[in-house]
Amino acid sequence: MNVLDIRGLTKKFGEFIAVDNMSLSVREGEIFGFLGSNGAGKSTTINLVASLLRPTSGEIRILERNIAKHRRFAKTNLGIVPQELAIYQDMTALENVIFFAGLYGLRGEELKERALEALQFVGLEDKEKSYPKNFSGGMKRRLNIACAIAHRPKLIIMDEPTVGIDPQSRNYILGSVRRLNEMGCTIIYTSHYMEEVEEICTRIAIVDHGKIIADGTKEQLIAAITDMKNITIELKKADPELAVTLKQIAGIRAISVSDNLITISSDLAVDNLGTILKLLIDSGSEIKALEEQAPNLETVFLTLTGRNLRD
Amino acid sequence: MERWNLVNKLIVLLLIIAVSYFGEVQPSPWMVLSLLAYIAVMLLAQLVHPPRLKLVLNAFAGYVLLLCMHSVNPVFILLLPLTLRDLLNGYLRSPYVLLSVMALPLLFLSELQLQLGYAFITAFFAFNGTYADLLQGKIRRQEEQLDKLRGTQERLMNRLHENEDFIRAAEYTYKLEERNRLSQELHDGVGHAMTGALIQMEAAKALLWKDEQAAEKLLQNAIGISQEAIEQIRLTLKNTKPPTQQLGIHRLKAVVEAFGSSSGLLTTVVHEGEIERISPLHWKVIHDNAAEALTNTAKYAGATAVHVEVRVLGKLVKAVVSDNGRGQAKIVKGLGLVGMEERAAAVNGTVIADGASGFSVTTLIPLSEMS
Amino acid sequence: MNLLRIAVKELKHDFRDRWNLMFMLAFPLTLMLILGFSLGSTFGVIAQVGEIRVLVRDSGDNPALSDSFAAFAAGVTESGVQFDDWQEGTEGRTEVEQDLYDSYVELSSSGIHIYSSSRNSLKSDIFQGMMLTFGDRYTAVQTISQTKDAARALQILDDAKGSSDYVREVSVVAERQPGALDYYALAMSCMVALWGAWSASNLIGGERRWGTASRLTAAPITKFDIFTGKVLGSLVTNMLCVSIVVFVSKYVFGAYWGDHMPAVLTVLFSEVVLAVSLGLTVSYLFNQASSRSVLMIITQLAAFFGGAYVAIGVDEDLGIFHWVTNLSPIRWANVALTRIVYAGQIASMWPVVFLNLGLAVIMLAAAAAMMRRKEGL
Repeated sequence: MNVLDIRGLTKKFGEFIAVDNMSLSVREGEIFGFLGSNGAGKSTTINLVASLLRPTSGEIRILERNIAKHRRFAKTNLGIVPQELAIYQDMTALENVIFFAGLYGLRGEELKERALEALQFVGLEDKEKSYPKNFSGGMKRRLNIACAIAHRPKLIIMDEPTVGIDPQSRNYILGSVRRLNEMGCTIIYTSHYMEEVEEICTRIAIVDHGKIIADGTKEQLIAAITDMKNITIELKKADPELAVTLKQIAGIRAISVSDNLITISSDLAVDNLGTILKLLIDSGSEIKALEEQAPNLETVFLTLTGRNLRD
Repeated sequence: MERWNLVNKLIVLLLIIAVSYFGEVQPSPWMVLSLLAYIAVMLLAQLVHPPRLKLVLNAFAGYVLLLCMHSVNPVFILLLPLTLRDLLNGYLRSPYVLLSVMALPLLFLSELQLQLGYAFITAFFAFNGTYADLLQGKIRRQEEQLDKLRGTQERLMNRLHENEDFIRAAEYTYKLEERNRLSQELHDGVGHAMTGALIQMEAAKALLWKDEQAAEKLLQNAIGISQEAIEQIRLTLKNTKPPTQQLGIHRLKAVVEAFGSSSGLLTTVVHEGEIERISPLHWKVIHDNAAEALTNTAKYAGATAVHVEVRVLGKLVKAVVSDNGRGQAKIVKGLGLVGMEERAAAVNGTVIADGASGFSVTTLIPLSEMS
Repeated sequence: MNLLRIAVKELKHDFRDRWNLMFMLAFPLTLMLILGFSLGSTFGVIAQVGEIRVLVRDSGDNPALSDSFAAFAAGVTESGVQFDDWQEGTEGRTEVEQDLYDSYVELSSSGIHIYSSSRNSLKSDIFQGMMLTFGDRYTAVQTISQTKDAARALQILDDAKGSSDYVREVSVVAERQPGALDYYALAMSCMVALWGAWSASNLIGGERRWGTASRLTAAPITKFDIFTGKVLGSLVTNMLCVSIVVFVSKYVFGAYWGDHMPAVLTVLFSEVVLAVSLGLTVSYLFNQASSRSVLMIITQLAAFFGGAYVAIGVDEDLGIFHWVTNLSPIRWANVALTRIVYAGQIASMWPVVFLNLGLAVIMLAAAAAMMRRKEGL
């Protein structure tokens, strides 16, 4: 089942086109990554899905129902973690979560239980009575997440939930994203941190200028731009004869030996680093340095758009 | 128009001087002073350019006029219709309203002589002025039209030149390519074959009297090779079309170079990867988009150089046209970009326009699995 | 239900905001105390009429008149009029001119003649009024006595003799004059009511600033819920603040609030409604910073011209400022409250209440329309 379907979505602000005829589907159980530089249209797309903005044209379906017609249904099944902190500084952590979860129709004991559960989930159970103004950046971000999940939505959208926080909080948040996913939530995760997206997302769409220019798993995206990787090995003493033997290894396309440096171009799909190392060791060579340059999402982004992700 | 106005005023002024200055036995020095003051303000009003300042000065001239009229000689009122006209001309559309406003002071005049004079001057200059305005408007419109026509003509000429350049460049490359191909194929096929045949024939000649059979066999070989070579020449001449993949990049280069020579921009074309994987259909999209992007660059970018790049990636072709112009912070889609998008969409591709540093248009086309 | 949830949340925001409380409660109460006590003296001067001195010259030609006048004089002496008999050798008019007496009365067969001083017109006016009453009464009695039923006439005359009811105290402020503190208690309460516009201007802008606007919009509640909940919360907060200011000034400072508390609170609450709608509408018309300044200007001008800082009397003649002060909601409320508190004219609240609520309805409708049109909050 598709949790989210977007068809021909366009959003214009005056003459400026923020989202340009975008189409995509997110299937149940995915952690779908939205990768793009600032101003690429990620947040606008998310705001459209969350009904914060009205589309200029196009259709959005959540759980296979058009959100323009089933607004309440769509909103109830959606949890949103906005990019900007969206919490009241003058209400305690628990009050915040209770207030927002209450808007989703939860009442009484159930409301309180769910709120406490959400706080526990993000690791703020001992801070329920504290005010967010005394929280660290990471704790605020976690509370921001708790406010979005207490009503147990099917689809959670996280818009840059890790901006400007310490690595520890970031790891905690990434961990909770995985746990939410294991509990059955479908997650849309936007970021301009390539490493995060690479680490947790099962499928990734690269967005630029309001368009999806490529989507697929990390491997598919990389395969779209190249099927080669480079391996550079520095030996204490390189025997030119080695090139001949190495050439026999599956996947290797070209080898050059100069001084003590061996440069190998190899098929990306074949995992042959182990074999190469074994052969070198067996031949009695002493390895001083080894580097494998496989393309990553950053390379993909750079190749496709000609710009760095964080420009 | 300005001069018309000025001369009109001078004529009336002369009339006033004739009536008042020379009509009196002892003209007062105030009279002279006020005349000079009016002339000064009037000339100043003619000299300044900002319309608001002009208005103020005209109003001031009117004020001076009223002062003169009141305290020096009522005959000064004869200048009032002209001043009123100066003041109101831009604001009152209808000539009748203008005329009636100009005639308004008539109600306050008592002397018959003055009334007559005033009415005459008003009627005369109101009609003249309106007619002059009309004619001037016509002239302005015609000039505008002329300018527009000139612009169109220039643009058309430019396009014609461009096209001629393009045709010339294309013709030249085509000839060049054809010649290269012929020489290459003649060298590769016929040349080798002839050399082979020649060697065999030399051997046959040497053996002719010693071993007839061997010589005959060699000759037979040479005949075979020659026949094949003839067949090859025939084929080469028949198959005049070079392979598309070669044509694609060469034609792109030719187009870009022609563009460079006609627009004066520095152009570079780079390609990378296995460009033979690009199908003719893809090439067509790349060409059309590149041409469109180049036109945009020439029109809007204010650039000095433009770079065209075609790269074959794993499963995509990426064609980029980028310039070093002023770019555009927020991109507004014009017809050109929409056209490019439509072309790309026909082959499942996308177009990204970016104006952050210079302007660049990237066309991404997925390569079909078969190639 | 969601509506109440949002209203309660607004209450929490407002009462946890120390600056807001300071602004809405501490500031007006302090200002009330300072202005009330420092300006006390200028308010304490109640125009004392003092004793009215009258010189009487009775020629004795008309015994009936003399009799009646004696009875009258005895009566009004209690009301603070001192009668001195004419001494030989003095000229009554001169005495009055020299300001030794306020009035000079001559009783003769030709009737009563009064010469009054123009120096103290108040006193002489009062005395003239008394004399006019006396004259009417005397003429009436004389007319009756000439009828056949003389006995009845004498009876009436006798009744009249004992009566001292020539001056009846029918004053606007029979019991109390507003002191400075009383005045400022009233004016400050009106001002605090209008200040509700401030917190109301923050209702929507605040959510945007805190980033919570997106969460509210994404929740399955209608914009109507958000809007009415917020307006309701803001109304309750501001009404509470106004009530606190009123009751603290009444019970702690001892300011006089009259006997018609419900009417007073109705007027103030209607002004709160007006203020909240004003704040909300302005916040939709301008951006955050400029709506603040616009409201600052509006409330401060209204406070100034409404007499919150510089006292302006209810019936004072203000000349050209008249229409300016009448533009200030504080002034409307102030005038109505003064009438209610000091004159017991409860009915004077209705025009103000209807004006406030009418304007509020128009502005709320405008704000709601603008909200509907807008994407998000």
